[in-house]
Amino acid sequence: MAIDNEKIPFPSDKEIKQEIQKIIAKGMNKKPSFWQYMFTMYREVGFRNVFRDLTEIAFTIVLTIAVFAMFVLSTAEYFSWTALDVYTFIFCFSPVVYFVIVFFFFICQKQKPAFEVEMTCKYNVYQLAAFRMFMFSIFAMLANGVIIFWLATEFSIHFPFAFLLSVASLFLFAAAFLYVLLYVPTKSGKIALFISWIAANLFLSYMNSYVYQAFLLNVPYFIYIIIGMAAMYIYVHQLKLFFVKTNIKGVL
Amino acid sequence: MLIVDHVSKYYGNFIALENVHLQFDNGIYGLLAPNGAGKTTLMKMLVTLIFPTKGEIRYNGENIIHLGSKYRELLGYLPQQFGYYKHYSPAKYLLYLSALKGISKHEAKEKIPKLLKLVGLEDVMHKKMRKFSGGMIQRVGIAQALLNDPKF
Repeated sequence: MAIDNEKIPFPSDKEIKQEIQKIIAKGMNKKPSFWQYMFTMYREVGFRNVFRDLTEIAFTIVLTIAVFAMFVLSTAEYFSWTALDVYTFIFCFSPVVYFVIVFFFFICQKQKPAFEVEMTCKYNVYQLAAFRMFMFSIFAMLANGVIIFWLATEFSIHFPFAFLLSVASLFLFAAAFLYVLLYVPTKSGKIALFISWIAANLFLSYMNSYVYQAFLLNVPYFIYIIIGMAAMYIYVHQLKLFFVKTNIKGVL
Repeated sequence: MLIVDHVSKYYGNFIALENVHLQFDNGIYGLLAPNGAGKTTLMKMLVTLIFPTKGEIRYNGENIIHLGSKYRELLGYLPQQFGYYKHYSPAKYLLYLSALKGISKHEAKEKIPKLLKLVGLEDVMHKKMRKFSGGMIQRVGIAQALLNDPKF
C-alpha cells in the first residue's frame, strides 16, 4: 500500500490561537451581563409580579412622607428651618424613603408563606430583591426630588444643589446598606447602619453646626457630582455581587 | 445525574447530616429514615434552600450552587409546609409562579388549566384558596411543582 507522505503544514501560532478561540467561543455559553440579565428578568417576570405588593409599598411611602412632613411642620415653630438647616436635613434624611421600602421588603419576605417555593424558582428572592432595590433607588431619588421641590417652595433653598446633595447622600447610604447586606447580614446590622447614619450626621451638625454646614455648602458642585457618581458606581457593583451571591446566610 | 458528594451539614455543634454520599440517576427515589435523621435537610440542600457545610452537590459534574438559576430552572419542589397566598386563586397563583420560573405568559396560560385539570381542580381554578381544604392545597402544590416540566 502506498503511503502518502504529503506534508501537512504546521499551523502558525496565530492560527493556533485563532482556532482555540473559535472552539472556546462555540463551546462556552456567553454569560449575559448584569444589565442584560436584569432586562431579561424584567421581560420574563414582568413589573406586576416583581412589585406584587405594590399597594403595601405605596402605603409605606405615603406614610413615611406624611410622617416626615408632619415632623417638619410640627417642629417649624420650635426650630428655625433656615436654608442651612434644610441642607443638613436633606443630607441626613434623603436615604429614609429608600431604607424604609427596602427594609420593609426584607421583613415581609420572611413572613411570606410561599417563601420556600419562591426561593427554588429560576428567579428567586435574591434576584427579585436586587431588581427591586435598583428600582427603589431610582424611585427614592425621584421622591426626594419631589420633597425637595416642596421644601424649595417653603424655604429659600437652591433646588439643583439640594437635589445633588440628596442624590449623593442616597447612593452613599444605599452602597453602605448593600455592604451590610452582603457582609453583616442581620436585622440589627441593617437598623444599626440607619441609626448610625442619622445619629452621626445629627451629632456632627449639633457639635459643630457651623463647620458641618460650611462643609456641606462649600464643597463645589462638581465634587458632589463626583461623589454621587462614585457612590452610584459602588452601589451598582455591590448590587451585582448581591445578584450573583446566592448563599448569603441570614439576609432574609 | 445528581451526585451528593460526601455532604455534611452542621448547625453550630449540632450535626444534621454527616458524610452523605448518594447518586441519583433517572428514576423515582424515596428517602426512608427515622424522624430527625436529616431527610428534610438533605431535600433542602438538593433544592439550594440551604448549603452543605462540607462536600458538594453536583448536577452533571457542576456544583449546583454555581449553576444557580440554570439549576433552579430544572427543579420542581413541593415543601412539607406548602405556602400559598390565601386571597389568590390557583390559576392566579400558578401564573405568578410561572413568571418566577421564567415561563412566558402565553405558555403558562395554556399549561395551567391542563395542570389544574390533572390534579382535579379545574372547577375551582378561579376560586380563592382561602376556603380550600388541606388536600386541595396539596394538589395546588403538586400543580406548581409540575409547572416547568421539572427534571427532578
